[in-house]
Amino acid sequence: MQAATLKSLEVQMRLNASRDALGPDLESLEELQWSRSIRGGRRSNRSRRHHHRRWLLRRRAKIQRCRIRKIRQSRSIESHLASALSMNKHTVTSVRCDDSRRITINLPERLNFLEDYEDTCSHFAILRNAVEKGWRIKRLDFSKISSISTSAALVLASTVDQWKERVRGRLKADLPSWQADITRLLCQMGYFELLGLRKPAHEWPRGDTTFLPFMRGKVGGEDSGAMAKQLRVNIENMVGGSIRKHFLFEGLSEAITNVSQHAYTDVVDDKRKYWWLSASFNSVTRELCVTFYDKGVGIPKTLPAHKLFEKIKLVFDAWSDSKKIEAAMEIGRTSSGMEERGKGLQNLIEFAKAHEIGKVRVSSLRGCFEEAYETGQSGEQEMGRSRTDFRHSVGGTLIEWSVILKC
Amino acid sequence: MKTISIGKDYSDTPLGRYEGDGPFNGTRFREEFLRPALESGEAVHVKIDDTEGYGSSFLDEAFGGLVRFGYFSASELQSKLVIELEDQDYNLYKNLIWRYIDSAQPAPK
Repeated sequence: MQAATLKSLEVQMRLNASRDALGPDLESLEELQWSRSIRGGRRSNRSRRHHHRRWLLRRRAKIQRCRIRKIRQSRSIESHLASALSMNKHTVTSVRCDDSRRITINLPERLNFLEDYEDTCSHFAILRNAVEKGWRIKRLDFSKISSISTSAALVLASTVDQWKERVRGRLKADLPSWQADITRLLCQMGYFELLGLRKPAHEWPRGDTTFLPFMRGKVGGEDSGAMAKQLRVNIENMVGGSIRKHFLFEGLSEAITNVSQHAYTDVVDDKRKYWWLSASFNSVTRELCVTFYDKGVGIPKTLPAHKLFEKIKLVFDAWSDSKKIEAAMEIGRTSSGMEERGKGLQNLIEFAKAHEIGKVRVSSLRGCFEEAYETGQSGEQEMGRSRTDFRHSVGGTLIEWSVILKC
Repeated sequence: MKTISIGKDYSDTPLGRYEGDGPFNGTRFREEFLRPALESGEAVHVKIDDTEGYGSSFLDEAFGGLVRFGYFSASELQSKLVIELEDQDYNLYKNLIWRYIDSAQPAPK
């Protein structure tokens, strides 16, 4: 009797252990077996309910596993995205990635290289890295932009232009959400053609600032000079008068020559050897801005150290980019090492110098050098220089001329 | 006397120093236009004010290169070469041309 009780207890314990291992469904399983045994394999309502319950449990577990996998995947995509695109505090909330690994980039409210240099450069760096690494860009969100400078618009256009050239995709842009003034400026600069958007049929209300369509030139291209001339003709049509054409051509031709001789020396692919050019005019302040941009190695990387202290500075990385740009503007300094070369960057100053108020700003990699001229009441021209170094790179070399035209 | 109008005979947008800079560079102008004309022995008049302008790379390579490559000395060029202009805005380029010729050093052979 005692042995029989002990055996039944053992059986009960094993059953409980199995139940614990399999969960609550074991009871139902037993019931199912029991019902099958009783009814000769015919399924009862109870068994159907049991099957349904099992199916629901399996489905729930599968969904849970999928969720966990997606979270793990998205975490790895996000961390991969952040490192691949060099995201920072300025851009941490600006990039989204969907399941198919296509990214959406939200552009910031203000794009310019004066007050918002770091923010602007950080966003452009993401776009540039996405192009370099072949990421698929789903959408560029222009809706938050409330102001954009000529130079920022040109750098952005150049990056989108390269993305189209190399990745060969189509970018989405929600045109209705763009602010009216920004839409007009970007339309003038040629963004509609670039993004494949249909231009609105209506005429834009005239604003104070007018942009000229950006131009893309190829290094060593046959039409480089003709493009510089075309820009001058377009500027004269825009401002309604003639400008000092030879000074403008002098600066542009040297900028183009500098790009072909120094900027892309380490680039083999011809599809990457381009420069971009544009201009804008403010009819109220009569300020004319001409902007030239290339995505080359940058002036600081092509500048040789002439003197011993410069060589020591280079070794200890104590020579800032802005100081290197300033040194490059000196006559006779060139990466070729030939004395006759290195006169070119001085030509960049002439267009600014030829006006009563004018300045030239050269930004290359993380440095910026500015030379400004103003003619005082005595008729003497005063010159001011300034240098600035930043945390983020402009991604090449950007030359900006800004002059006030006489009425 | 030979006359070369850079704008009409060569390009109204001369640009760059070497072949790689573009088709209307300083090297090509020197080798195909300036040097043959000067080697003929006649005085050469170069009209410079019918272009968009010049960068120093073009002028230095086209004119300073004549001395640097040992084709002519600076004094020979002073007697053979005449720079012509009507637009006084281009006078600065005339000054630059002579400065590049005078400062160029013949390369050692």
